[in-house]
Amino acid sequence: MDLTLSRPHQARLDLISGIKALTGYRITPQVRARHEARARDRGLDDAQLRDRAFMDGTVGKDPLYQASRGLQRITQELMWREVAQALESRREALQQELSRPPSPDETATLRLDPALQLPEYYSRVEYHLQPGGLWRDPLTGPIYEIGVQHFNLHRFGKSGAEMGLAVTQALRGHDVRRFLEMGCGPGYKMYPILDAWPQAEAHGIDLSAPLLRHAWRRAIDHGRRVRYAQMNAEHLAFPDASFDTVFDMILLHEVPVSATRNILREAWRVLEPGGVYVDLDLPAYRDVDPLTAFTMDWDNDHNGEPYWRAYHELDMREEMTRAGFVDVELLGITSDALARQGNYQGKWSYRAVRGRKP
Amino acid sequence: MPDFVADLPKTELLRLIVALSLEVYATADRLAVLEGVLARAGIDLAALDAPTEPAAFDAQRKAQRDAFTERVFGSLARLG
Repeated sequence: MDLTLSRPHQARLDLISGIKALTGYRITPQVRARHEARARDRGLDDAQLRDRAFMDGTVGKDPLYQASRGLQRITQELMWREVAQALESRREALQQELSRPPSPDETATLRLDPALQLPEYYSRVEYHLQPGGLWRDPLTGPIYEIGVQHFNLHRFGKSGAEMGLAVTQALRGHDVRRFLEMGCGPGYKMYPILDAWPQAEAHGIDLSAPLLRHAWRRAIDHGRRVRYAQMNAEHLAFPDASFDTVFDMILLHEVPVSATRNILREAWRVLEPGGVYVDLDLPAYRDVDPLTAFTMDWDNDHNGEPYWRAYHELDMREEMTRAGFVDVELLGITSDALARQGNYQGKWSYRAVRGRKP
Repeated sequence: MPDFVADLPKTELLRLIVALSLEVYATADRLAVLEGVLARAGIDLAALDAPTEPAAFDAQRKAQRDAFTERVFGSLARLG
């Protein structure tokens, strides 16, 4: 599926990315410098700097910080509008392609569940401010893929491989033969795992039918062998001990803590003894400096991320241990390739939590 | 929606808008001249609307984009 946009639409999106880059790489470092000078001059301690109300009254009042947040919100809204407008003239052709019946010789398979009830916590959220959320528009997949690439300043390159590469690092030393990605979305984040373990049987599940249709067509276009199914990760339809590897990437910050606990329980159930589970996401607030945590937290209220704060305040090691996993490790994942460009504060790193079913 | 820029001086916003309008006007004027010249020379202008990769993957366009962003929004990054 060709998602290349016409030049006027692409030009507007290029400038949107440029403004986001200016915000991240030019304005934000100055916000940090001013924050650090203020903290030093006033002798502020860690407890004060981790107090959200205090930071709202100091950093939150800095015109530079306000400029960065205003630009971030406005460019996000304009970005989705531009992507949707760019694809509107091609809607009929794209929808036809996405709904084409599968033929038996295709590498990827798709099983949708029209009876699936979407959880209310999911259906009502417009994640990342994407209009219609992740399920209403049949073109959700293409819109999401183009939007997220610009949102992330193409940091992942054309392949969108960065997070998948991080998961392969977290799985290093483990023999992956049959794996499940929960919340696979448009599917491309999984490709580095397919490359690292080409003989493995790959499964991807998601709540969203439009995202799965996109993942399925995309996998066929890229010659990828994946079995996609529409399913709620809180209630997997797989029998016990179905997989040796289960993982998710930036999924759990999109669900409430109660759902996270259900998902961990299901991951444990469908793993065979000795199987490995990995959750990949951004670091918890406690594991980053106070200004990064404060800036990250902005997304909770202003970027369609209502569960972000609760997730980043959760102790995932404790949660996984409570779910029955052993050898639970917190892995900070950075590399030259992953860390070449920054995000919030000019640094980019993931953290994976890895555990084993005994 | 909250007012994200409540304490941002409005003069800075006005400065930004005026700077942006200069860029837009100069570009539109240049484009009109160029399209006229090209059309009179019998050149097909279809490329103006052709499918295009993001500037992130084209060093020259990315540099132009970054220079434009700096000219228009750079004043925000220099707020003292």
